[in-house]
Amino acid sequence: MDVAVDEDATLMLAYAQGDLAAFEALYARHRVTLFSFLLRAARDRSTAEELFQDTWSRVIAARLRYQAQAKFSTWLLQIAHNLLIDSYRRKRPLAEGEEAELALARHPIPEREQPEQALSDFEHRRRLQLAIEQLPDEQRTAVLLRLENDLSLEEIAQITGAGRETVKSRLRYAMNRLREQLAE
Amino acid sequence: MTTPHAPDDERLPGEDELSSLYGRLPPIEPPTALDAAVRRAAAAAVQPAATPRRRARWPVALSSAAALVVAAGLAWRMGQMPGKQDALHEAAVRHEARTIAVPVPQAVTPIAPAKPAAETYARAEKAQVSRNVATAPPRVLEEASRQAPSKLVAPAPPPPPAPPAPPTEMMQAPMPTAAPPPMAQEALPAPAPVVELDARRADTPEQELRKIRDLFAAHRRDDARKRLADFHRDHPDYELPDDLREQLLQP
Repeated sequence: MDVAVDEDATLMLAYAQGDLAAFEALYARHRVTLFSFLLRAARDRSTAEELFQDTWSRVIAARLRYQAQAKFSTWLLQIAHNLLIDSYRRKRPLAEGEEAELALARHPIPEREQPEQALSDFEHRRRLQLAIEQLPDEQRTAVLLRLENDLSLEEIAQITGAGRETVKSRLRYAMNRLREQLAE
Repeated sequence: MTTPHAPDDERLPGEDELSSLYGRLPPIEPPTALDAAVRRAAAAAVQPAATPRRRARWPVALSSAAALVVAAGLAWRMGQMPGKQDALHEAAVRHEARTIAVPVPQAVTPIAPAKPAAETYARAEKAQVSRNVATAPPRVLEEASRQAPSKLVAPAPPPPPAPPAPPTEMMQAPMPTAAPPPMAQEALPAPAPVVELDARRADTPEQELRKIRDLFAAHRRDDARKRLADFHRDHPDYELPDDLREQLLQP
């Protein structure tokens, strides 16, 4: 466990003892990465918001049972992933193509990043975003956990409940496909 | 998250390029309202005790007051229950040597309250109801049959089978077991006072002599003389009062 994980665990344990400021700090650390992961994985804004709130509700409810044996971020993403899987099962078919693009287009790249000379980079990022949306659910989840949260293969395996080699295989397929989309 | 990969965690082909490009995607902030909702939930979870404790006082006081009101109401109702009046009535009969009961129409319950004032009131009620029964039209009779049971203290014994009445009138009778239909009331004659003078084995000699005197007073001379002779035969040693002795000696 590194220093950052230790800090997360300490904050969570402090919150379990009633320290609300500890929760504020913990929430500030993880709110953006969690919401980005959920929105890009779910491809639907209202679903992402619902899952985000549910995830934190479960963290709050489980505060007294929390044990600092695993990284807090792994635990948090495991909760979010389980809710995401339930959402996949409930809400099929999910937003596809233009609908999904619209959901993410509400967070456009800032204007200052769109001068003429940066158009190629902007287009690359937009293509990457669309390519990720079009991945199968399991590959999309794995690649988002890897790229968004920078998790190891073991951590992704722990969160998704799959074996390490399965995760590695999903990531390999997903990244090959992303590269193909970007090269077109 | 900025947690680095584990040292032995292998990098996949082309991952660095993808990771660099993904890192330039804009971060997506959750809405402010969502932030507020999560923070409220977190605060409520660790500070739940203060608010309910303040609110927990008035419901207790209110429920206590409500329980007192209910208890008082029950006590008042039980004090007015007919069973208690029955017990008082029986006690009064036991101690009262001479009991006068006024037979009333079957619609009205015969009662003899324990206290003289109550007895007077009950007699007046019965008489009023009887007069109404004798003279009032059917609609008024129905009203009387409704009001009478509520004013009487003791419950009525089950009435004898009533003649069949139209279904609508049966529906209007509020207590069919306590009061016969209005048609039956109308057919009854007006009540006449009757003196209860039947001999009882449990009567004391004084009580029996009092009844014999009442028979004389009611001009039932033959009955009175027969009862007097029986009494003298059963109690030969009892010294009869002068007036009764004279009655006994008269041919």
